[in-house]
Amino acid sequence: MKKNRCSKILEWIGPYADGELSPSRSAMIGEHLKDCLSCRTALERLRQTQELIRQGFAFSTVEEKSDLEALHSRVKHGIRLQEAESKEPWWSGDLGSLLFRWARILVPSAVAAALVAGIFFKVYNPPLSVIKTAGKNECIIDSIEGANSTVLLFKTHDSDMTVIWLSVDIEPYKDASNSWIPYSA
Amino acid sequence: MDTLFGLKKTAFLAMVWVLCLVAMGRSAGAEVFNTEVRVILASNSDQGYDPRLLDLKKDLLSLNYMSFQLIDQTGLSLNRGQSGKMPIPGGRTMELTPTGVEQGKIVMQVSINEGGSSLLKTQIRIANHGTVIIGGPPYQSGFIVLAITAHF
Repeated sequence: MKKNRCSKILEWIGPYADGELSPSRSAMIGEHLKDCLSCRTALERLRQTQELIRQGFAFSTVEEKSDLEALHSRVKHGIRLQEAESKEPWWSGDLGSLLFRWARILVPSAVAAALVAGIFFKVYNPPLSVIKTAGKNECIIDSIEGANSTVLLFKTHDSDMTVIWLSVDIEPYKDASNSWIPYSA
Repeated sequence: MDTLFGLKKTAFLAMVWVLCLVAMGRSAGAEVFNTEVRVILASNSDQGYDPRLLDLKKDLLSLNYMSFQLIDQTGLSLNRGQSGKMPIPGGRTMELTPTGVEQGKIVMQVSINEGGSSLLKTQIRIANHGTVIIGGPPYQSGFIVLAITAHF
């Protein structure tokens, strides 16, 4: 809706800048310009261009005035200089606007994708036996305590699976004199 | 122009905030540890190898028993610090407590009790989706082997 309004305003912006409009239309455009940055910018550029053209004529000799090509190149040069002087930070320029426009699409998409991925991983618990692969079985034993057992630690050959083996059936045995001898390796 | 820049800055900060919230939600979701415990009877009987234990065949056969039979299988979903108990044949109990994740490995406390005494108390760190085997308690004509697999 605003775009349509701006395009109509921009049709009148030239006559507005030249003061050729009726007071009521001029007031209407003035009201719009108060709230519309892009139309204000267009008006400002138009005025700058008009100023450059005026300057171009002012500094021209009578001979040069007939040379429209020279005038054209001077005006173009002036516009370039002015643009370079009033160069805005990248985020407020075309690149910034482009990124901002894309961000409006990309950010909700990224959030939606993250939510879908989160739900997928939360809900989908694949069978462990399918996922398990060799090399994933590395195990670190921080502490171990076997009160009534001998604990053996070893790894299997193929997939380095850690095995903790409790020898709970090993009991002290009696010697020839029928005394209990504690088990030792 | 300042207003426009301010709007863009606010929008950018809002984006970062939303992404942080999503990331936090994801990491908070990772606090559930799914543990699968397979209780296996290892013996030298002629029952052979249980086909349900195919993924562990090479590892179990290296224990030098002739027969491996799956006698129970339990899945536990535990939060960080939450303990899960399960009975083991022979009047024993096993208690598992995942305490967190360190360098991608699940830190887990495992204890096996028989009667009032502790047979084993250990803290291990196993890889995500990794398996550790705890065996040795005698049962019937063989030994109990526990294959503990965990993921988050």
